[in-house]
Amino acid sequence: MKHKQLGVIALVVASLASAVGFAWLLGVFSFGYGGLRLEVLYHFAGGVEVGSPVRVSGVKVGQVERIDFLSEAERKALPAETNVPSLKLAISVSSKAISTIKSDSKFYVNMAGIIGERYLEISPGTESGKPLSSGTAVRGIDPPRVDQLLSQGYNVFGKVQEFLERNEKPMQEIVESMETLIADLNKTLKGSEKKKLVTLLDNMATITTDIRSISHHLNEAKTKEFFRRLDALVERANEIDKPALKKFLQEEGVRARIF
Amino acid sequence: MNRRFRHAFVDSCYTFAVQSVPVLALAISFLALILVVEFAFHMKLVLKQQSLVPAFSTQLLFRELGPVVTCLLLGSRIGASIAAELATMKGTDQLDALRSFGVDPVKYLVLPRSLGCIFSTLTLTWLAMAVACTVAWLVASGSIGFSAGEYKNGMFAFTRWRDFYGASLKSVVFGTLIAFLAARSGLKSQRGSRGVGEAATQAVVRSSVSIILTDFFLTYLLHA
Repeated sequence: MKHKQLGVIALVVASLASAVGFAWLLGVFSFGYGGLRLEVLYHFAGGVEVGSPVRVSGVKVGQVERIDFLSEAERKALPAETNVPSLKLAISVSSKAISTIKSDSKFYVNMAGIIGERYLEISPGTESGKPLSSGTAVRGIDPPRVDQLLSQGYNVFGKVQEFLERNEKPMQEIVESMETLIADLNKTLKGSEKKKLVTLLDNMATITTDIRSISHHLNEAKTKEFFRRLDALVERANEIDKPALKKFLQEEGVRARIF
Repeated sequence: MNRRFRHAFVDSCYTFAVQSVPVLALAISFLALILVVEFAFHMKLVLKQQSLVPAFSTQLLFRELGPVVTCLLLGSRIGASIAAELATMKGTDQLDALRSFGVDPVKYLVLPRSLGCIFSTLTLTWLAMAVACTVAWLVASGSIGFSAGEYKNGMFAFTRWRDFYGASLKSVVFGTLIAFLAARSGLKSQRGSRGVGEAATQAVVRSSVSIILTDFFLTYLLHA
C-alpha cells in the first residue's frame, strides 16, 4: 500500500508542478519582473491583454500584470486632453531595463508577427530624462484606431458616392466633354493640322533663338557703347528748349507754330 | 473519509493514474510530434514560413488534444476496468452480498473509483500537456529549424489562462462521464462472462462517444 501512496503523491506533485509551470508561463503570476512597476494610461489599449509582453528596444523585459478601467474620480484628476485615458495598465519591468526607462520614454502598443501579437514597447529615454520610480503613472501613446479609420473612410466614400449619384448627369457631361476634347486633340495632333503645328513650333523655336541671340549681344562692349552714345544724344536733345528751336527755324526761314 | 474508503481511493488512483503514465506519455509524445510536423508542413505550404507553429500547436494542445486524447485513452483503460470489475462482482453475487450486509455498492465500490477516475483524468491531463509541450519544444528546436528560445517564446503567444482552465474543466467533466458510464455498464450488465465482456465494451464505446460529443459543447461554451 505504501508504494501505491508514494506513486500517487509523486503523480500529484508532478501534475501540480506542471499546472504551476503553465500558470507562470501564461502570466498568471511572475517572479522574474519585479524590478519596476509602472502604470501606463491609455484611452485605447488596442488589444493588449494581461500577460502581453513588455519590450524595451525590442527585447522582452516584462509583462502586463493587470488592466483596470479608471474610475470617474481618477479620470477627472488627470490633465485635460482630447482623449482622456480610460484604462490603466499595470506593467512590471525587469531590473536590467530600469536604467533605460526615463521620464521622456514613450509607451507604444505595437504588433508583432504576421497574425499580430500585441505588446507594449517602451522607447529608451534620453540622458536628460529623469529615472522613473515604481508606482509612477505615465501616459501611453494610443495606438491608431484602425476600426475608426475604416469607419471614417466608409463615411467619406459614402459622401463621394452620394455626390456622384446626385450629380450624375453633369458628371456624365463633363466626362463626355473631356472625352471629346481628348479625341479632338488626338485628331489634331495626328491629322492634317499636324504640319501647321510643326511649323508653329519651328517658328517659336526660331523666335526663341533670336531673342536669345539679342539678349546675348546686349552684353557686348560694342552694344554698351552704342547705348552710351544714344543716352548722351538724348541728354543733349533735352537741352534744346523752345526759344532756341524757334530761333533756329527763323534763321532757316521757316515759319511755324511750335508747341 | 474512513480508512477503507481512503484505501480504495488510493488504490483506484494508483491503478488508473500512476499505471497509465507510461502509455499516456508515449502516446501524447508522438501526438505532439505529429502535431508539430504537420503544422510546420502546412504553414510552409501555405504561408511559406513556420513562425506560428509553436503558438498554434500549443493552443491546440491546450484546447483539445491535451484533455480529449488523455481522456479517450483513460476512458478505454479505466472505463473497461470499472465496468468489468463491477460486472464480475455482479455475476458472482458480490453486489447482492454487500446489499444483504446493508452496504450500498454505489458508495462502497463506485464512489472511490469515480473519484479516482476524476483525479486521474485531471492530473494526467496536466501532466500530458506538460509532456507534449516539452516533447514538441525539444523536437522542433532539434529538427524543424527552430532555436530552443525561439520556439519557447512563441509557444504561449495565443494560449491564455482560459485555455488552461478550460482543459482542466474538460478533464473533470470527461472523468465524471467515464466513471458514470462505466459504473452504469457494470451494474446493469448481464450475468456471466459474456455480460462482463459486453459491459467493458459498452463502457469504452459510450465513454469515447460521450467525450467527443461533450467536447464539442464544452468547446462551444468556453471558446465560441
